[in-house]
Parts: sequence; C-alpha cells; structure tokens
Amino acid sequence: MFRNYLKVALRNIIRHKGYSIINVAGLAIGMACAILILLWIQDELSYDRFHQNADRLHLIALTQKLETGQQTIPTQQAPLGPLLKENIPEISEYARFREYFYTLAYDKNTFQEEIYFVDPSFLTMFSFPLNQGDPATALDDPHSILLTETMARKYFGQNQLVGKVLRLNEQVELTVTGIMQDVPHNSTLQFECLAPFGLLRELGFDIDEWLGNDYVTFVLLEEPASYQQVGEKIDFFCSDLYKQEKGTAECPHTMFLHPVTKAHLYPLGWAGGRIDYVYIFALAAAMILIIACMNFINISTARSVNRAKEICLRKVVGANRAQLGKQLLGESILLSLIAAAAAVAFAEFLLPVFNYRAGKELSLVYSNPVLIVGLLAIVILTGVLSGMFPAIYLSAFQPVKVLKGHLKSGRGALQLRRILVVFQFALSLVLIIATIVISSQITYINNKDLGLNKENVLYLLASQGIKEYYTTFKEELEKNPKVICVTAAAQGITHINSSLGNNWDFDGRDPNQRLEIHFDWVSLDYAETFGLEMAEGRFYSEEFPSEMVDGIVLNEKAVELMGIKDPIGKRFSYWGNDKRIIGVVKDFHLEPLYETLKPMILIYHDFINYVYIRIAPDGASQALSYIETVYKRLEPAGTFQYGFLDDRYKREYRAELRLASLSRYGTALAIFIACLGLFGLASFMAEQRTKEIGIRKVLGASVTSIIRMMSKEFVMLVVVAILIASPLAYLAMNRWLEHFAYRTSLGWWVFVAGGLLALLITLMTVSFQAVKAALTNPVETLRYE
Amino acid sequence: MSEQNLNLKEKGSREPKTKTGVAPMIRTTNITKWYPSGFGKIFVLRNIDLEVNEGEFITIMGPSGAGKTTLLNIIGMLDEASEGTYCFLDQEVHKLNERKRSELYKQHIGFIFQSYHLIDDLTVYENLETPLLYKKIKAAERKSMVCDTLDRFQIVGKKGLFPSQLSGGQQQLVGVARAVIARPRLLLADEPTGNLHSSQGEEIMQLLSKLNKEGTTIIQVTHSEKNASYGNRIIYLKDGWIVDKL
Repeated sequence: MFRNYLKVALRNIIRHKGYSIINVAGLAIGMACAILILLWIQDELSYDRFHQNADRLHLIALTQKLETGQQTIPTQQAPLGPLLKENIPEISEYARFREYFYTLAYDKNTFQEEIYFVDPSFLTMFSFPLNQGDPATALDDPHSILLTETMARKYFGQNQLVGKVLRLNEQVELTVTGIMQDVPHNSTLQFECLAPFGLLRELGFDIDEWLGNDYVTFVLLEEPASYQQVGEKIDFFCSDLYKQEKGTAECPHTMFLHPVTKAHLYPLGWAGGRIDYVYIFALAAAMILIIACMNFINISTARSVNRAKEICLRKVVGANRAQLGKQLLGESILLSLIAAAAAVAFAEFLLPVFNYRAGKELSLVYSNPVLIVGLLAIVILTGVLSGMFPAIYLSAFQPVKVLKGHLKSGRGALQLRRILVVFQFALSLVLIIATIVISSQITYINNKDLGLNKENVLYLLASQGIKEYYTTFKEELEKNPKVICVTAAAQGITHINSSLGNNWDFDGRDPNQRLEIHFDWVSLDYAETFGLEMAEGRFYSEEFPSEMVDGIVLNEKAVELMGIKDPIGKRFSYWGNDKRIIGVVKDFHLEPLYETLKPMILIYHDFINYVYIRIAPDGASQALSYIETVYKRLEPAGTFQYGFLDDRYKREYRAELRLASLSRYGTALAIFIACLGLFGLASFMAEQRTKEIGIRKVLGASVTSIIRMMSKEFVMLVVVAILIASPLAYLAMNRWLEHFAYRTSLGWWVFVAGGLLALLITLMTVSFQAVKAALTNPVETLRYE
Repeated sequence: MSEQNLNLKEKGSREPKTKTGVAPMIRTTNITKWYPSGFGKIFVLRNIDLEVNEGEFITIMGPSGAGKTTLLNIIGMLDEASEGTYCFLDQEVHKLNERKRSELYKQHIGFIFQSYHLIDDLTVYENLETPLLYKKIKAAERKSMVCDTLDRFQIVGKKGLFPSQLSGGQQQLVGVARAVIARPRLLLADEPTGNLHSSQGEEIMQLLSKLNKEGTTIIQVTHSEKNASYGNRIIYLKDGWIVDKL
C-alpha cells in the first residue's frame, strides 16, 4: 500500500516538475530560515550557562528612586562586596569586576589594552578554564596577570609563557601566572586579560573608601533557589546602614540580586535588551514558515482539479475518505521531507553569511538532539499543516460530479485560496513595513544631532610619555594646519561611567535627593574639540586660570534634575571640595539612544588617559602621519595605536544594525516565497483559462484588456492585504520604537511605500503569465475544441 | 420501426430465471432524484420501481438526459436518491452511512466507465492492483490475482505500460479488467463501447456476455441496439420515468 502511494507521489512530483520545484523551493527556503533562526535563538538562550555555578551566580544591583522616575545601576561601591560577604551568611563568595585602559609592554612591544581587574575568587566562581596555571592561586599575588591564548600569542608568539613579565603602564611589573582559554562568544563577560583587584591601589584608585558606584560586584550564593530572599536580606542590611549613617528614616534606594544567566537577555543598565529580539526573531521564523505553508496549500488546492479524476477513481475502486486523506497527507509530508533535505543544504550554505551578519559562530551540529528534534518537528508540522486542507478538501470530492466533468474547483476552495493569498501578502507587507521602519530608525540614530560632532575625531590612549609631556604634545600637534584641535580626558567621552557617589552638595539641595551624577576629568579645549555648545557661561579656558582650579561645568540635564535656578556662580561641592559653577554645557549624547541623558559634570584636571584630536576632513592621511611623527618623538618605543570616534559609536548600535540587516534578508526571502506562490497560482490560472482567453481574443479583446482581466483579481486581493497589514504593522512598530528614548516618526509614507512595493511585486509576478497567455495565438488554444 | 421494437421487446422480455423463494439482488421502490433550481426542482428520475435478480443481464436505454447514468450511479452507490428505498442484497442502502456503503460497494460492485478513467501515473499492472490494495488483500494473493486477470484478458505483455501508451480499445479493456478483478457480483457498465470502434466494441460485449454466463449480474447503459441484444431484459427510461416502450 505504502509503496503504491510512494510511487504515485514520486511520479506526480516528477511529472509536474514546475509546480513541484516551486513548492519544494518555497518550503525549503522557509525551513532554512526557520532553522537558522532557531539556531540563533538557541545560542542566545545559552549565554552564560556554561559556568558550573551558573545557577548560583548573581550580580548586585541597585534601583534608585528619582524625581523623574527610577534609575537602575548595575555597579556598586568598592567596599560593598567584602562587607556583604562578612555579614550575609548566604553569600559564600564575592568578586568585583572593572576594566581600565592601560598600556601593556613586553620587551620592545607596547600595546594599549582593556585590563579587567577582578578579585581572585572570580576564577573559582566563574568557569573560565586555564590552560596553564592554577585558578585557585593565579591571582593571589597583586603583581600577577592572566592572558587569554590569543592575547598571549600577540605578545609572545609561542606558547610557554607562564613566568614572563609584562610592564603595566610602565609603572608596575606583572608576572604572567596563567594562560586562559579564549572567552567563548556566548559569555556576556568578555575580556582578554585579568589582573588582581588589589593592584588598583597601586595604580591610584582608592578601593577601600565608599566613593562612586564604579564596580560590578558578583556574588556566589550557597543555595541556588532563594536569590530573591537573599536580595531582600541584602537590601535590609544596606538600607539599615544607610539610615544609621545619614540619620534619615528613609533609604532612597533598593538593592536586589540579578542572576548572571539573565544578564544577556534581560540586562540592567547595560546597552540593549535582547529578549525582545528573541521574540521578534521567533515570530519572524514562524511567519516565514507560515507563508511557505500557505503557498503549498494554495498551489495544491488549485491543482486539485487535475488530481480530481484520480481521487474519484480511487473512491470508485474502494478507497474511503480516511485512506485518501492518508495518501494525500503522506504526499505532502514526502514533499516536506524533500524540502527539509534541501533546506539543510541551503542552511549550511547560508551559515557563513548569516554568522557574519549576526556576529555569531553558529554551526549545524548534526549530533545535537535539539537540532534533530527541531528539524523533525518542522518537517512534520509543515507537512501536516500544508497537507491537511488539501487532504480534507480533495477526499471530499464526489465521484459522480467529477467523472461527468462537472467539477470546477468549488466555491469553497476559491474563497480559501483568496484568503490565503491575502494573508500571505498581509504578512509579507508587515515584514516590509518593519524593515522600512527599522532601517529608518537606524538612519535617524546615525544622523541625529548628538550635541557633539563625532566626525573626524581620532582618539588614542596616552602612554606614560604622552601623559608627562601632554602640553608639548598638544602644542606640537596644533602646529599642523590639518590638526584643528586637541584635548584630553580621563575616562574618555564614550566611557563616562564613574559617578560621584553621594558625596556632593549644592546650595538648596534636598538632603533626601539621591542622584547619580557622572563625571569625568577633562582638559582644555574639550568643548571645542567635540563641538559642544555652552548653554550658559563658559568652558574652562586659559584666559581664566582661577576657574580652572575652582570652576565646575555641568550639563543641562544635571541642572534640570538638581533643580538649580541661575546656576552660574552658584556653589557646588563634591568629595569635600567647594567649587563654583562657571558654565552649563548643552546636553550631548554618549550612550545608545535608548537611554536617556545622564546628568554629568566636567571637572578640569591634568590627569589624562585619552587624547582626542580633531583633524580636518580632507587630508586625513597627512594629518595621521604627522601625528604619528610627533608621537614617536615623545614615545620612541611605543606603538602608535588610534581609533576614530564615530566607529566607536557605531559599535554601540551593533545589535540594531544587525537587526536591520537581518530583517532586510528575512523580508526579501519572505517576499520571494510569497511571489513563488503567486507565480504558481497565476500560471495555473492562465493554464485553466487558455480556452477562454482564446475565445475572447477571437471576439476582439486586446492584449491589454486580457492582461487587465487576469491581474484584476490579484491586485484586489493585495489591496485588501494592505488594508489589513497596515494597522498591525503600525501597532507592532510602535511597540518596538518604545525601546528608544529618541525615535523616528512613523509617518504615513512608510505604509504607502510598503503598499506600493507589494503592488508592484504582484503586478510583475502576475503579468508575466498574463502577458504570455494574452500573446498566445487563439488558433493554438482553440484547436482541441 | 415498430416491428423492430417489437422484435427487441420480445427478445428482451425473455423471463429471468427465478429460483422460488430467493429475494432479488436489487430492489428499488419509488426512487426519485431531483436537483433544486430556482424556486422549484428539476426531476431526473421519477418513481423508479425496479427488481433485478442475480444472474440477469439488464440494459437500460433511453434518450439523452433520461436519467440512465443517474440511475446507474444510484444503484452503484455513487450517488443518493432524493426519495425512495433501495435494497441491495437485503441491505437497506438508503439507510447506511458513507463508510458502510463504501464497504458494501467495494465488496460487491464493479464499475466500467465510458471514458476508461485509469490512473495515469500507474502502469497497467498497478492500475489493476489498486482495488485489491483497498481491500487489503495480501501481496502474494494480489500478485496471483493480477497475473490471472492479465492472462485472461490477454494483456500480459502490456503490464508495464502506462495508460498514455495504450490505444483506446486497450485502455477500455484494462478498465473492464480492473472492474472485474475482485470478482464482484454486480457489474455496472456506462456506455462501455461508446468510445470504441465496432470491432473493439464487439470484443468487449462478448467479454461481458461471457462474464454473465459465469454468474456475474450485469446492468449496462447504452444507446446501441446491438449492445442491448446481448442482455436478457431492457428497461426503457424517458424523462425520468420507466416506460414500456420508446
């Protein structure tokens, strides 16, 4: 029985190669997309789960009540970790984590690196295996350092390197006490070298005082399950302490624990929320698969007229509906299997491009049970979904009508096909509109006036020599006409993370107001180099040397949140230093535009880490070589490494850029599949109506009127689809844009553009068949009357 | 003309052999079939009372549109009457559901169509095999039945060919073979020779005659007086009614 079915199914497929290919292609593309997206989702869900203690690792976070709402801060003050470990028994270990930029040198090679300072317990809490060295002791000595394999190779070239000595910042000598495996991509914590936290004392950081919230603090709990309660315990402990110290009745902040395994998809205060993207992609995969299935249903039911005879014949020789249903369902599952094989091949083929676009290292591991089960599920689901309706519909044919030739595809099927086409196009349209909106939001972000001019600004990390002779460096550079302006800062304009803590004051401050004010130490010409505008007052300037000592510049947001009226001249103090406000700078954006502005102050200081150089837009290479020459004069042994500020910004939007790019591909594919279906339907319709068209031509119809006649129905369906899709897309896109504090507008032109695109595509697809039919000589078509 | 009619009628009214006490194979009472049209009905069959005994060879004749094929379809359980009762082998067919009806006709009835209606994607062998598959007959037995039939109809050499590779007469032959392979008790033939030329038609009719002599009840619909002469009784239909003569 089965063999009979198989034979018929295969021969059917071969006999109608055109339709079979359309069907298989549509399904295969749909499945390939689904496979890739599922791989992506699986990867996203796997972040940070490779740690042995994964379910016991948490981050200490803090929510602060402000007048304008809430602020969640994922970093804590340095002494908090040790204090909590001592006082909360459920915490078995803690580890702090913070990066700073320094130069690292070996022999004659100096590089600028992001060094991550961690407590030694970090190695035992987290599972970052060491190829060489002992995780229990590797960071015990404050003068030790760990490198990843890649980084070690960069410095030393070959492998045996434990024991080698590197120079940090030309200040301290560190011994390499271990080599780590490269950090896998599915870890939110990414680093290339680790140094002991205690080293920070030598480098000038006061980690024993309760200063700013600068350090990510992890804890390892005894028990995995109760982290919310432990979080509450921590909160009580800390708020009690706060109330005691400040003598207040209320503590304005709440502390809680955030599991490390949630860090990737549900980040706190870190850029970008990924869980929404997981949902979006899952939805997209489902939509593409549905479009492919609908294709199948459409083409199968349309061609049912050709199958009718066989079906009814089988009924006459004794098949009942159930048997027929099984046969037809089996055929569609067979097609689904063939498509699956093609899909896997296709997915393999697309994987490198996909990985590149998505920034991942995914691969089809055939032994992965999830993959196998997932694939089978897709095959069966697609086969059953697509085949069910045709199976039910076809098996209900009445032999009598069919065999007398009375069968036209019934009204029911025609309606269904119309509904399916509308639905397919509505979905495709939603995807088109989504892509347009996403692309326009990215352009908007890229072009939005950030309040600073990030073009043509290069930055470099100041080595010891540059730091010492900064003034000379600046003077020499500015001699070149291509160098417009030079400035420097401690954290760098993209990195203003440090906060004043609670140790600040101004006249008229509400003692209960707790605000997280960020700050950075800056040099002269900072405002000019970045093109910042002053709203009031002025920036630090050599003309007013006293202001450089006791002046303070705030941004507009700080003034707004602090509620100071007429800030110029008013007193502002921090860390016990009294200063005078000399200027208010217009707000400028540092962070991705889904974070609102932070209040900040810019303090003049000669401690610098970064040097920023604005060069003329033309003659960049000239400027670069000049700068390098000057650099080499002051730092003969150093390596000239630099970056461009606008590249830095682009990196922050990586997720969005990727989303935009992937969504373009996804939409293109979905549309392609829908068009395949449309093409199949149109050609089928043309086939059915050949005789009618022949007669019409004989009676005098022009080619255009025939084309119009054939396209009319499809165009109407697409118009209905546009009407349905637009409100859906509008709602969905509005929801997505809410992520962003600053967003592009959802204008009507987007929907019109999307609609016109869909219409154009439909016309192009359908008219090909229409034209072909219209141009056929009636003699040919009417011959077998 | 009337003489010819008389001749035929005489010939056709040879009395069927009735074994006393055995119920007829087919008994219909008051079978009526209509289609709704506008506010009224179009009647295709009216008050058909029919009895057919096992072993008969019945011919149904009448002008186009008289309802012959409809009646055949109703007898063959491919269609349902709008009114009336139909008993087949003492089963009240009009009361059975679709599944039971399908079982019934699967077992006992074979259908021959005017336009052959073979499955194009299957070879002759596979076409013959299909009804047996639906009756869940085991492979070995199937093979022997098919080979037997191929032999009997002398088409062994054609068993691997597809319908498109056969001539009209050969296709009809296969159609007949398929209808009888499962040895049905009743054979229904709708214009079996309609699309064939005279010598091929002769062959088919002789085959049917032979089957009838072996015990198969046959009901055929035809326009041809010649074909009618092979049967033992003629039923005339006109405008949906049974009439005595045309």
